[in-house]
Amino acid sequence: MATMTTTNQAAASTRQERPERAARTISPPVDIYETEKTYVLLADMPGVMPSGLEVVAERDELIVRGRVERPAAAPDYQEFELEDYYRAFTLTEDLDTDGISATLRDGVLRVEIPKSPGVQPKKIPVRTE
Amino acid sequence: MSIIDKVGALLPWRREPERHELAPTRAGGLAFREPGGPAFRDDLDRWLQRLVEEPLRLPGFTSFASTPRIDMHETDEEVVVTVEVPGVNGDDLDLTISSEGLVIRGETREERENKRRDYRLVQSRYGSFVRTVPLPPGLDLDHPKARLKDGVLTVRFPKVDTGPGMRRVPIKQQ
Repeated sequence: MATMTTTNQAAASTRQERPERAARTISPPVDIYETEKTYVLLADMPGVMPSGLEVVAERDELIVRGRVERPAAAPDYQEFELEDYYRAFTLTEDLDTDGISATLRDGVLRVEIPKSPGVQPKKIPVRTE
Repeated sequence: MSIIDKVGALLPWRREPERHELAPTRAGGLAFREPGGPAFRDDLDRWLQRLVEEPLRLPGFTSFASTPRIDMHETDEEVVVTVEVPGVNGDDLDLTISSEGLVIRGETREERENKRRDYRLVQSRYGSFVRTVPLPPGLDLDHPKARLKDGVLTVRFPKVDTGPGMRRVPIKQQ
């Protein structure tokens, strides 16, 4: 409990320090679900235009970056910050990184990662003798 | 990995700090790991923020799980309300102005809601929501401009010099 309180206070002070804004990024909340042949990752990235989005899969890493257009003036009342997004994921070997596809719609990024053919469920024919 | 460990790995305070694991790794599954510290901390911040701040916000108007976050700012000409609505299509969004203020109703797209899926990690909010934003006096409520772009809704209300029913009183100088 003590750790939680400390972290929360640290977070509160970070939010108030304006000079740090340029370097700050937000980690977008992500849903991940599995289908038979793919993993689907959905990331909430409101404010990101398609031109400001970057999805890079390199070896075992998937990196998602999104640039937003920040409002000219600081809000008078604020519940969220429109900030650039950044989040990285580790990809395991059983994923087909060449087959990754991504779409962006209404501020939600959808990344589809196919499983390698080797790990997809295979039906084994049974012979009767 | 036992069930308890799997559940535990989802709880921020039970995560192994050196690995920053975000979801349990299944045998032959996908590992989600944050390589850097700041992003992970930001994630934790968000989680704490939800836990600590949200139940306190405008009780009565909104429910816990389905409240979009807003920013507001004011210039000499207008008041601007910005709402985070990722995953919401313009057709699923409804704006009304009532005596309570600006009422924003909406629904995230059905992919998340209707179908049961084999989820490994869920951090987003989805479903239907309603949020009422009280508006200050002195705004032209008949001519707001609303725009939905990339999951961000912006509603602008021009300011008016004289409100409805207001009349300037001339002063005679003697």
